[in-house]
Amino acid sequence: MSDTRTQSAADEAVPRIHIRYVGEEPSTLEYIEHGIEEEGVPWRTHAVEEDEDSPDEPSRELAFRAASESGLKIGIGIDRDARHTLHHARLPPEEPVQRARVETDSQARAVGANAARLAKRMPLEPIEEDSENRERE
Amino acid sequence: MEYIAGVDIGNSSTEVALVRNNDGYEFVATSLFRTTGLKGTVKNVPGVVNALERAAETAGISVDEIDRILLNEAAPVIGDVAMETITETVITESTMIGHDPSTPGGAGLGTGTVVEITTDRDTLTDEPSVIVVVPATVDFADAAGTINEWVEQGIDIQGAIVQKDDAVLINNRIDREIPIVDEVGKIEEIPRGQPAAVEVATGGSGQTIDQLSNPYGLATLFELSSEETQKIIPVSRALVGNKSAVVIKTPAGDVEERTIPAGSLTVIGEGGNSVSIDIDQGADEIMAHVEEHWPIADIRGERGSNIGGMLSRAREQMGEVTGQELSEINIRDIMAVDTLVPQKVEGSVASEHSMETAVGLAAMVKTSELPMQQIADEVEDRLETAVTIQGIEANMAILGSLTTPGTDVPFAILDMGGGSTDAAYINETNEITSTHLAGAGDMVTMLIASELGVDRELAEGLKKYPVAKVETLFSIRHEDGTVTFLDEAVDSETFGRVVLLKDDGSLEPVGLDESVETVRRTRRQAKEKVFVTNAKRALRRISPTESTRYHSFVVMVGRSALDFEIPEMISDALAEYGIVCGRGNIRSTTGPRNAVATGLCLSYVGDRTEFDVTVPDGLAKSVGTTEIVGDSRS
Repeated sequence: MSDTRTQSAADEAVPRIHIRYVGEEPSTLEYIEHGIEEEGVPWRTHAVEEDEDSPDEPSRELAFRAASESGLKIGIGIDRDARHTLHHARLPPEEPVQRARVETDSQARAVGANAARLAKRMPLEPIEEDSENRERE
Repeated sequence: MEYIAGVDIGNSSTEVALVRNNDGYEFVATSLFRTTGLKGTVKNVPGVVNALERAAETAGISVDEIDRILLNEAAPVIGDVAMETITETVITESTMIGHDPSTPGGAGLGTGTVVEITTDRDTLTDEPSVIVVVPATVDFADAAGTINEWVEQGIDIQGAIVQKDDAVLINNRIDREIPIVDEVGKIEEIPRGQPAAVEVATGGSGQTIDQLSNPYGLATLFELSSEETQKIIPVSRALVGNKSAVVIKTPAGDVEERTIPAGSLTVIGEGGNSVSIDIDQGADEIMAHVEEHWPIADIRGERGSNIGGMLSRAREQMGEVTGQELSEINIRDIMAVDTLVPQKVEGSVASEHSMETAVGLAAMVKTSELPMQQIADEVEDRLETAVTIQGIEANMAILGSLTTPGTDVPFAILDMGGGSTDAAYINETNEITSTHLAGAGDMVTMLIASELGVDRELAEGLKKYPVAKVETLFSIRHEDGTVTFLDEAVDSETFGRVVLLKDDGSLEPVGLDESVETVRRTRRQAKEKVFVTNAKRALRRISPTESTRYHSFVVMVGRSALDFEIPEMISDALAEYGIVCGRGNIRSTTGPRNAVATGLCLSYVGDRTEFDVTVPDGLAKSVGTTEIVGDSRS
């Protein structure tokens, strides 16, 4: 973890959506941020080093940790396989709000919009996956 | 041991009451199955057999052990509904549009000439002010860059119209605050080079636009004459309550609200008088003429109109049931209700809707031909049991309803079903009068469907169940504002939506943009327009003085009496007349259900094989607790 104690304390006080990803910055990040911004909700992004113990579903773990740290209790986790998970801190860790392999810009934007809509208590959009992706999962 | 079954074939459900005679009569089972086929036809037989089997099973006997089956003498009543839209807003050459995206950008009001963002800047130097149009092909960052550039070079950009959902993104990247409306689908249809106004409400939630929704505001912005101002009223009216809007003026364009010829109805009274009413006169006018010509011999609709089609459809259906010539089948009642229907505005740019006025109509056709004997024969064949056609439906319903604790003659019943509202009154000397009126549950469904713009299936759900809003992953807010917390999180598809609260406690998301308040108001208004109106109408018909006020006691029975709010609405409305009105509780056990089936059994008890219009004194008194014991197994 690169951030300091004081920073996380301050972050928890400010209601923001947290985005957490592992390794290099994912290409989808920019579009996720656009999705959140268009809905008018604040957010912060956080890069983490690869976890040594490498959990089975890193994006879910990342999302839950992000949600737990978020003042809005909403987190997005992105792993190296482009799996994106939207999570809420009050949900059981193994039951995220939405989970999908995201490849297109519009899917990524929908992930961001949904995180913001969760904060605004508005209906979520379905995140359409290509049939090809679904088969691979 | 003797078993007797009363069977009531209704429009939507077939009900059975089963009586055992073992040195005294006792109700042993009640059952319900959906009516198969159209009421009053041989196709009802499978439903009858199924309902009997269910009742037998509850009583722990085989269906063969039933010694006698009693059928009601049901005159088939067919109710049908139709809607006729009578106004239409037409925007020729796409002049003026309104739009309300969820996340507009910026704030304020801007006017200027419509200019594409990709235009060469040098051609714009003469424009005093401009509104830029950003098509989907232009990235929001590029659009914001261009806007900043142009503003820096002295072009007065007053607002933006954006195709994608990018308004906030653009607003966050420009140096000047302008109103930005986005998600304008058919952006290519916006006429370039024309004056336009864009407005986004300032401040937080709850604020709405105030210039473009005001006809004089529009007149000020576009320098309209009084004649032109009159024409844009449909536009300003359609924009009331919006958080944002765009209005574009073209010289050739025009908006008008016109009346569609909706056809006419001819009401023929039994006295031979007839009157023709244009449907576009509205529901009040139609109903006034119906009341004036009561009792009605027939009603005819103009060919080619929806209403005319509906009336002939009802006639044809009845013809099939009874085998009568169409010319012999008469429409005996209609009910008209004024309503509003959302219609796509002709020539709109972003699929705007306007609320058009419409008239909903329910018709009722009744026949004196009784095809019951065919059903009786068929049931007798299938089950090898003696079948008796025992009595007229209204009389049986009265008799069954008398088992509701606290009732006594004289009193009236209101039988509210799907296709028709029926009523019967029994006076001190046990004479019964009855009536069938058009308009019941199906009409309510139609009104909800058309006013909210949903399909029939969803409208049926919206009629039957209260709605709530899923506010957080763990809580829902009900219609009355109370909040329920859930043990488990809702599905992501349900979050943030309006849901139906089903009887089993499950939440069914409704694909509907309306608020809980709108759904509730629409639903309650539809029920009130149909059931409260018809309750008063029916009670007036069956009173000897033709006055609703005549009645003292009214018992509500039938499917719609099970509704979660209709009985209280009617009780409330009738309380004004000093009428005691409540939901029936047949045999103290079955609620408003099973009145006719129970009545059939009661009328047979004591070896009465015939039952005429009068209720024998002894029987009316005998019901309730003495001879007939309450259903112990329901």
